[in-house]
Amino acid sequence: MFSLTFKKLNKSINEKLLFNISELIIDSGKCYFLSGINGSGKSTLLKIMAGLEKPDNIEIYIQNKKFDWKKASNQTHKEIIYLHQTPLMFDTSVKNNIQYGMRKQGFSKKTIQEKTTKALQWADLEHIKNNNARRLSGGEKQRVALARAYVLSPKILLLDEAFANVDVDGKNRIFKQIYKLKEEGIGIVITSHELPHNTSLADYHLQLKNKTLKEISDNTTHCFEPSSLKLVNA
Amino acid sequence: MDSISSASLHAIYLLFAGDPELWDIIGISFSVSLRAILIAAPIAILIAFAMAYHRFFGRRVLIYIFNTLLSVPAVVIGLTLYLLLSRNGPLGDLKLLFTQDAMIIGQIILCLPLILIMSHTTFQSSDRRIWETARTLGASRRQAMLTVMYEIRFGLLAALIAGFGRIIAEVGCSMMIGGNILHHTRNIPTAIALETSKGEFSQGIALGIVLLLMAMFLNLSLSILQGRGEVI
Repeated sequence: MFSLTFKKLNKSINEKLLFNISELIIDSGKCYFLSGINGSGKSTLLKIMAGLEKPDNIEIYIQNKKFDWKKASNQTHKEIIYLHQTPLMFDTSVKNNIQYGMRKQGFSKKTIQEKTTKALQWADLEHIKNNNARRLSGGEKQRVALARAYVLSPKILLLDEAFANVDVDGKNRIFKQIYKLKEEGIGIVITSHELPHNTSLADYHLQLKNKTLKEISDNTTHCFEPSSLKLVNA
Repeated sequence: MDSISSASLHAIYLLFAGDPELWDIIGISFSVSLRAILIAAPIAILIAFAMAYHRFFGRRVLIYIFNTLLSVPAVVIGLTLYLLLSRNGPLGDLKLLFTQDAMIIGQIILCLPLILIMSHTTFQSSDRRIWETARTLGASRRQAMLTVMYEIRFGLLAALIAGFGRIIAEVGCSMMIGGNILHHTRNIPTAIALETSKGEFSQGIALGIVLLLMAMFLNLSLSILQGRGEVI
């Protein structure tokens, strides 16, 4: 199991403290629902975890081994993938978007082909594989972004408001994909103010409130029944 | 009016007849300016990227300096270089004055700030998610930088074309440090200035036509590359 621990994590913006978190542990195969009001720092926290934004202070333990932020971000660079609220599509086809990470990481041509075919089927994108990804709908872009991450087999996936700007059908499709990713042992941190309740997706509910992170144990989001894949139309 | 039309006809004749002197001047012009752009563009784009994507000490001062350099007249740059490269100047031993190398240096100084400032504006208005997406998908910093450049390629191409346009048609600097020597440092703008002062308009018009055609070709190429030019 892949385990990532952040300690003494604090971040200020324009000299104003955004949050101060004493400890946060993320394990692969678990799903963490992160809530908080707008501006509480959810996206910033995810970006710090992905190594995309520098915190003021942090202690990072990967598999219980301590790293500083720079070393950790190099180390976890290929293990943690962050997905934007509105995914950025490169100005090319859906297929090329999915292959982007594999090409940059030097995968073999054969592996790229195999993984692309699998991912296109997995995300139900085969019929639009040659379309320019920038011309897709919000839900389709979100699926391309998930497929683009899926082919890289990350240990942890950070989803920033994955259900925003997507219709009900799109939400259900994305939800199913995230569920499959979790079943494959990927750790998932998801921020959303409209995560479908009464589902087995979230194992832990974390809340960013009053500049700190708390774990909330309520039954609506802290449910451990993997078979109860029920969706509520938002 | 007759003299203008006959000079224009003679100009077209010179172009199509392959007048060696004329085509030599055109060759020198393009060779010098292309070499200057090839050296200036990577430096300018890299500095522009660093200024847009990284915070470092002196960043604002650098932007101010390049903005100032942007508005320095070509003739002032020519004069400064002339003083530096002349036999008694601090760089006189390099014996660069009245050479194509001196013209290239002058043209680099002229186009670098323009390419840099235009590229910087393009980088500044680019979507930061391009960099973040590339990095999170495992691209190295260099690969992510190239991805950002590819995504904003039309803005960068426009900067290069503007930079090339500034130096291919520039007279003051080339005249002062190139010396307008036939078959050696005489380029299109210095030749036009010389022929006009002699009252020989045909060659001047022919060279003017070349500059106009080049401007049309570059802008047409950019338009074709940009496709429909609409926001997706």
